[in-house]
Amino acid sequence: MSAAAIHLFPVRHHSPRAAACLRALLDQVRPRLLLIEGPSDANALIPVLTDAQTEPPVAILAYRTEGEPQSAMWPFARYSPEFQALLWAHENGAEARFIDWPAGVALAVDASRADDEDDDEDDEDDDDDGAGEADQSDSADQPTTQEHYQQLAEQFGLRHFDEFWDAWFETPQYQPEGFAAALTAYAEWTAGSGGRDQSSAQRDLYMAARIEAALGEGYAPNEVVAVLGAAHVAALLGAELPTQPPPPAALSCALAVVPYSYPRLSEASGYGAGNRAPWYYERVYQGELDFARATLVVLLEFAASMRLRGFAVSLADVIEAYRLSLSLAAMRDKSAPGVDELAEAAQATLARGEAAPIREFLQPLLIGKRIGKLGAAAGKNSLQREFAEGLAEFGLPSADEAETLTLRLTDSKHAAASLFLHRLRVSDVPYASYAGSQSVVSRGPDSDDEAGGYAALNRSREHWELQWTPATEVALAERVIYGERFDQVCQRRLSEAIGGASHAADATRLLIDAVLTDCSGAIASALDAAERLSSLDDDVASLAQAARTLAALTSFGSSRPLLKQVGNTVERLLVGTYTRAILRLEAALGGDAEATQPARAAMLVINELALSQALCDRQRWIQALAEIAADQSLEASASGVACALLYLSRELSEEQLRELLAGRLGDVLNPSRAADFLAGFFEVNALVLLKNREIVAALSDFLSALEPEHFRDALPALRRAFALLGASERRFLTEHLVALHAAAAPAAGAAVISAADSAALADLGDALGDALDDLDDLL
Amino acid sequence: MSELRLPAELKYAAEIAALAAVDDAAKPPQWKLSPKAVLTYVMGSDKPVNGVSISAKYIGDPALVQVAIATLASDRALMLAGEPGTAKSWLSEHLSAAISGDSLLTVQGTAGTSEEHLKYGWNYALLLAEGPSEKALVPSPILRAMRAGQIARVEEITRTSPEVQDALISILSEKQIAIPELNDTVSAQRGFSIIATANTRDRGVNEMSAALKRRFNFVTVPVVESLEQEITIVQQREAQLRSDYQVGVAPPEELTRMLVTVFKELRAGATLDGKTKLRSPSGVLSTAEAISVLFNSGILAQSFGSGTTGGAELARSMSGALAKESADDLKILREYVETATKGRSGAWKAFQQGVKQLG
Repeated sequence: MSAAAIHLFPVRHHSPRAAACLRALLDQVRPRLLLIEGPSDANALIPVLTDAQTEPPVAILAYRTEGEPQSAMWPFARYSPEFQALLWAHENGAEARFIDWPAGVALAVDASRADDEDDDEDDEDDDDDGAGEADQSDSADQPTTQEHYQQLAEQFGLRHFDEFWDAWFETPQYQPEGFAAALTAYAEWTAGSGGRDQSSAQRDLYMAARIEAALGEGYAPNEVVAVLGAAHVAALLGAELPTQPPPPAALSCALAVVPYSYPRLSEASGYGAGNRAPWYYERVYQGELDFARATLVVLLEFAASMRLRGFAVSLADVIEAYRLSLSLAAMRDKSAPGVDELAEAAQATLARGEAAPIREFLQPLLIGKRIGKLGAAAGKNSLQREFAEGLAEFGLPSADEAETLTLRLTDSKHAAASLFLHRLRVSDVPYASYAGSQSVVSRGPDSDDEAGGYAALNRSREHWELQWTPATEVALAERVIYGERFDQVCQRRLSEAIGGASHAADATRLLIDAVLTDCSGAIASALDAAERLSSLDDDVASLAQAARTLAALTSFGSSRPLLKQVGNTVERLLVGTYTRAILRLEAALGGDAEATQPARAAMLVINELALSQALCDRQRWIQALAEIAADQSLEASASGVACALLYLSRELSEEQLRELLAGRLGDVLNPSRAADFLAGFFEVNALVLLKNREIVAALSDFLSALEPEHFRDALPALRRAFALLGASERRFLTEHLVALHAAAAPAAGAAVISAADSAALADLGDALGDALDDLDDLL
Repeated sequence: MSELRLPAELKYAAEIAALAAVDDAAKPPQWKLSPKAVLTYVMGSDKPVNGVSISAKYIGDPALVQVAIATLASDRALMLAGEPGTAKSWLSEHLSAAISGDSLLTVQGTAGTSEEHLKYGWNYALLLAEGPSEKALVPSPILRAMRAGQIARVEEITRTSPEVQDALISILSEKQIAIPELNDTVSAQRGFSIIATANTRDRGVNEMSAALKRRFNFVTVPVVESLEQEITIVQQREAQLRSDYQVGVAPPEELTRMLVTVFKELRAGATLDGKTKLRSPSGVLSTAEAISVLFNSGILAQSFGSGTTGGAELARSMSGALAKESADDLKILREYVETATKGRSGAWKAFQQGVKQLG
């Protein structure tokens, strides 16, 4: 007896029409056994799915229990035919079974596919934090690519596949048999135009075998209904299934039912992966497939939400929008309006032609915010429990919507919440993202204010952005590989990262993370790694970073008990790293201005340490700076930085500075080097430097002494140097210039301001204006 | 034919007749064609209809035209909104030509448009001689459209004064115009509707009231996004202009592509590959403007040039189009040519030369 003898019902995985037709068919056939596409090792979870307390959207999650973290999900909405099939069986005392290959095989196929191809599509799957919707539909019912679907829709004069689906399968009033026949015909037709990939064909065979095994148990063919993706039905009804190589060996994995969300369901695209308007489709399903009515309800809600936002929209507009959606459907030969007609009609009427209200207010209405719920029947792993307890203890939100939270770390409860969130962050559970520590949340973190950066220890305030997504749940399930509790997970992940660190800066950053997450074991190994790497590291930028982080630990770590014991080590390490950074600096200052950029940034960091840290040898740094400032063989902008730093720390008298500048800027034969020097010089603190008239005088002399052809050569570098100046710096520069020239003589002014008459020059205001013009030309 | 420009219903009479001949779908009252046939007329058809090939009048999203047609079949009026030069008036002319066979019932909105232009005026000689009578009445295009159940067009509605816009509200809601002098009221026949166009750059000139907006369904005609689509439009419309005016020479395809690229890049303020940022001129760089620049270059080439349109002619006509709003725009064009088009070959070379010589 073959699989084709039973009732095969084809579905799209999230389709209200398919779900309704399926229920009608089940009421008619009243089968004793229901076979459903879904991992066959998830049968134990069926009672959880049909539990009265379970509210879709929920998903079956399979995650690996060994090796690389990886997972796959099989989501169900209320209007998913598979979910309705399970419910029907539960309500009518029939047996339900999943018959697709086990989740471990699906994971193995996904893993080998990710290895084989590095193309973009696969990357998208992996990006989802391992939660990629690499579900059954992905591999099963997409024998063809997105472009194939697009072509298909265009053949029917429609814009995209979703519109095609709505027009041909969702909105027409099908009887169950008619729907099954139409969808199977469609699947056969697409099978003819695209190839069937190997894993789909292997699953055809696997499911056929399971159906035959069920028949072997003594069920009569007409007592069995199988609910499968349309392409599988077409294959089972077709000619004999071609033999296939055996599927890969199953990876060891565990399964659980987890909550899912409508925003997430709407993100996935493709034949079965998701759909674009889950809440709309749910309403369609609840409203007995009356699309026109669901459209009207959404239009009313949209009008209400626009009114709330202060738009003047009336009931007459809603009526017109509804009428327009119906006439658009008629003009397009559709039996009822769908999402496209709804959106277009709403835009022409309620939104007065604007696209923004549709995007901002209507789309969220169509998608909905619903998050699934699970009853007590669903077991939780220890991390999921710890997470739920943490949310409850600290009163944190669990909605699929971003929310901002501010913690004041002086409060012990807030400090505990911060520890919890940092542990989630280090465990790589997507829930909380650090949003800075500034007084105003909206400013966000500074560029170097990372969640685990050097500044983390002296914060008094932390902003976090919190959002629960199904990916959170997936990560919680997956991370169990690393440990039973979050501190263990952090410990494991930090240790792995420390083992892979190749720079001193990485090791010290991980050290901060270990402190923030209170992982004593990781602190020790991070210190070891930092010590080892800082004596090998040749990268000045990394060394400077590491020294800064260590300095932060010595200054602010004393309050952390874990650090007290290792305080001496940190101090020793700081001195060593600081010294090494200075020693390695000179070697990093070859090449052009661009190549020395990281080293110049490191100079500023080291300078800050030298001036603020008692442990760091200030004299040594000053000496190094003096050498760099004087050395003509080094890259000129670095010398400029050194010169400015020396002056600012009062290690250079005005006279010395003037001499140095004159020497550097007097290099008229090589003006681009002089200009580079100038750029470096301004990089540090242009405002303080330009307040000094002596410096401006030296600059002015240099520029007026340049030969035209040299000036031309130097111009790009000069432009770059002066472009760094802000408005107030330019003002100081101009004032000094005017004062200098006015003081000298009218003749001197005339040299600068060509063709200006002497009467005007007498007037200082005019001279200022001209000088400004001059400066503008230069800039 | 010596008319410079025929109204759409005459110019495309053969297409409309062919569509009508095979059109057996239900028509709204007074419509010459069914909604689907109107759509085919506007969007064109790959296959000839009744032996006549239907040209595409609007190149872009058919969904927008469907919304427009579905609106005209209801009691709402249609508002076509969009940037200047996005073919709003063009679309409005073709819709009224296909639906009521008359695209000339048009009121042009200006600051000087008065209520008389919307309702009715008088032949004052007759009025003085005979007193108010039907003969002395001068009906507005809207009044004539109401009587005949046709579509009237109001162009550039945002240019008209608030008083005139208010008068339109009562026409649209009552679908009646009272003529107290004759003790008479004209009620609109079925099939009457209004297509208005509004320029979104005029926003704030005479902002439409909420009451007026409520009488309309809005269709925003977008700026053409795709390069290929815009090239097709420019080519097609320029060829039409050339045959209407019987002057100019056909430009090589490469030149059209270059022109549209220049317009697109300047409009977007960045090169097509997004690598170079540019300054955008203050003047309007619409598709319509591109069409006229290309047409002009053809005339320049024919009359004063070598007979084939090249980059030099293009540069000269473009300076005329750009320098409208401010002389600074010419500087922007020169900068653009110097920075963004460096290294481009073919027609670009002559164009670069041409722009440099603009002085």
